Amino acid sequence: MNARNVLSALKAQPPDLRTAQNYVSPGCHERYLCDESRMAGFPPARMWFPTDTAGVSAALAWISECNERAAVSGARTGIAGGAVPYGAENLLSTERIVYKPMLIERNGEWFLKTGAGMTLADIQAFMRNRDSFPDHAPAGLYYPVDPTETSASVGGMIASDASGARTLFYGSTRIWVNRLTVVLPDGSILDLERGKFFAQAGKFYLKSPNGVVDDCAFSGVRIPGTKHVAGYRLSTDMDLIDLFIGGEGTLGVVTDAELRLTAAPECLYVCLFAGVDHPAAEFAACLKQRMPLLALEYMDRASMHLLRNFRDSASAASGVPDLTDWDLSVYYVEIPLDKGNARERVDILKSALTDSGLDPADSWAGFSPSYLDEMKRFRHALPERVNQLIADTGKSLPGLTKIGTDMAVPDHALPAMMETYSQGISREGLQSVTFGHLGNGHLHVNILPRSMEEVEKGKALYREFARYAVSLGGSVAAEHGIGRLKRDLMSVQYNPDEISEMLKIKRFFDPQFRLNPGVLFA
Amino acid sequence: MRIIVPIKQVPGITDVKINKERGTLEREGVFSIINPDDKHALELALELKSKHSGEVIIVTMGPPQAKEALVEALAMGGDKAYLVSDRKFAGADTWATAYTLSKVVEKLGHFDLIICGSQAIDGDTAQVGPQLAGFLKIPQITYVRKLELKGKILTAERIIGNGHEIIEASMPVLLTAVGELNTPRFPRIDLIFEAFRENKVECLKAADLKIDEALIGLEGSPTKVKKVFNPKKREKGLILEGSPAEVAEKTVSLLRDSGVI
Repeated sequence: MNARNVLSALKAQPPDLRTAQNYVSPGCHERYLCDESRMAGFPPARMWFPTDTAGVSAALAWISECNERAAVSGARTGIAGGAVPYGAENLLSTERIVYKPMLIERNGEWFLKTGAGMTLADIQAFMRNRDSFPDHAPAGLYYPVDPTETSASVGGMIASDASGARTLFYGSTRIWVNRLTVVLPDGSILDLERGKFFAQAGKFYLKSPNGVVDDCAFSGVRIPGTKHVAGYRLSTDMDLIDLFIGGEGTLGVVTDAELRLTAAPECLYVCLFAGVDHPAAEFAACLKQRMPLLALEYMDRASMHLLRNFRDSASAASGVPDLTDWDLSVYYVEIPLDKGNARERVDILKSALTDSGLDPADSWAGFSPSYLDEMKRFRHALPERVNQLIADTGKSLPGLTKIGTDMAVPDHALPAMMETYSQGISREGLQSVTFGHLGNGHLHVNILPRSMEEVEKGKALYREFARYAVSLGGSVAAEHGIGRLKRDLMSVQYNPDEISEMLKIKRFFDPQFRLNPGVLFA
Repeated sequence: MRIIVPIKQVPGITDVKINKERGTLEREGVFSIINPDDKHALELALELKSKHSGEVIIVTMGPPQAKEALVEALAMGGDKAYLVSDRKFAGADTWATAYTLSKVVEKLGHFDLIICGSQAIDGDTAQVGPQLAGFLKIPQITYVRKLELKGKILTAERIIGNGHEIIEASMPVLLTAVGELNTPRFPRIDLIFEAFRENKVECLKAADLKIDEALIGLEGSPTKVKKVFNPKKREKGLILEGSPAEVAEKTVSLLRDSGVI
């Protein structure tokens, strides 16, 4: 035992059910009973809306003393049912833990201290407005992780290790979290800084506020070399802050975070319109080999056909450009430009396009971030259209949902995975669109069922795809997490020993399984 | 046909911060775009070029980074671009800008059309186009929303308040374009390749123009910006609904409550 492998918890606040802002009765807050997954939750007996770490501590201490459980709720933008109250007497929302973010400089690096309830949009707005920045703060500082949904909260993004298109270049949220305040299920508080506390040979210690020291011994689990958010990333020498990033709120509640910032690069934004049979995986490999890319995204022909219908009904408001030919697939590429290398990067891109059989004339490109916004709207119109279509079909078939896959595979396995997607959909006679993060080997197949029978077929196919992705060295859950809806995929990803190692960690921090019952584990 | 399209690079957002000490716009960290009306002007020029053949020349006056806007304009299909950039031009008002642009046009030689955007979203003056026509002593048709060209005669539909008028003109003429004229095309990556490879952007300094330096930049500007400020936000108005009698009654009641009567 030494200073580097002992986590020291601070004393919990006294249990508190009196503070007005901490507690409201259910009924008037129905929106907290579901998230973007459309999974329906059960009304908890109490809902808590603490405004700071002390409030969370007091609430959890009270819940612990009453031997009850708590579902943790952020901005409810997740699609795996992680924020849906289920099997818990209490709902603990972090959405009111908001305060003006603070810019901090340390050894030439810049960080943003922020509350768990702040949204990505809040952070982006703060970073755009330099009024409160010190004079020597460099221009263009930004938080580079950009999950699609800007209403996502800081706490939620950390709990789900959120990623997005630029994960290809910057990695996921985990890499950008420098410090966390976490409240444990008994209300005690941890202050975790990256690089300070590590497991050593699969062991670490937790010192409680009254001086009692518990030890936790565990073995590592296999982590795929792709994007991956499924359970705890256990390795025997891990930085202990990483237990709580991507832990889906099952070990503790994040209340404050210090996020690392970087300088925003100048970019070239390009949409490339390709033939329907253009080999996407091969193109991705070719492009990635030749130059750094911030993002490399993809939409298949079926996606474009769905968008054409959307544009026909909503015109330019859809964000979809007016194309003359819709029988095509689309690549979206962001290329970072440093001073003086624009010409060189453009030349490399040109040779890559020529070698990949793409006609550069079939493109849309620009340097201004206004193109980023326009092209984002174009890409984001697709999931919007998918949701609209499912909602329409669901009017006559209650219980019908889309089936959205979230697997990622290593680059070399992407052609095989894409072929399997295509064959599986065709074999089952299902309707689907395929789109997403081509550069990360992470495409979403959205199966669009037209009947309940197709829902069942789609679910079975999803599991088949997941097994195949794992056999290729991939992940069953690259960015949406496991939540409550995808628990069965844990056994596809991990063997029973690995799951039992994760359960050891869960029991160590939360022996009564008070936090987020039903998330990750049954 | 030779068409000249003057464009302006403007901040890509409308809520630009104002430096209270200097009375200028804070552009640091604010991304720039081609002024939207100028894109419509360029699109018109490119459509005319594709129908009648010819050359589209783009001109912008601004700091070195305005070259980015020219590359984007070339990527839409322009043939040649000029960046008019010199510290001596800094601080120019619309008059000094139009004077400078007129000297650029004179240097470029023969032209048939000049197509400007109606107005820029940062200054909203709508003055540079008409002033440029004035300096060049050519006719102008402003706020053009539709255009046809037959032979050497063009017919333009221009917006006037709640209606429009149709004007015929022979070339050379200056037009200013509005948003409803067309949908600007996408810039294309192959044309960005070309723009870089063929060095299609040429830089012009004050010394390259036959120009009276007393008439350019801040010194040559007859108008000076004394103060820039955000207008006070007005409270949201209230719309009263009902029959005339009811509305009158509500109005009186509100005025009474607020102590006006």
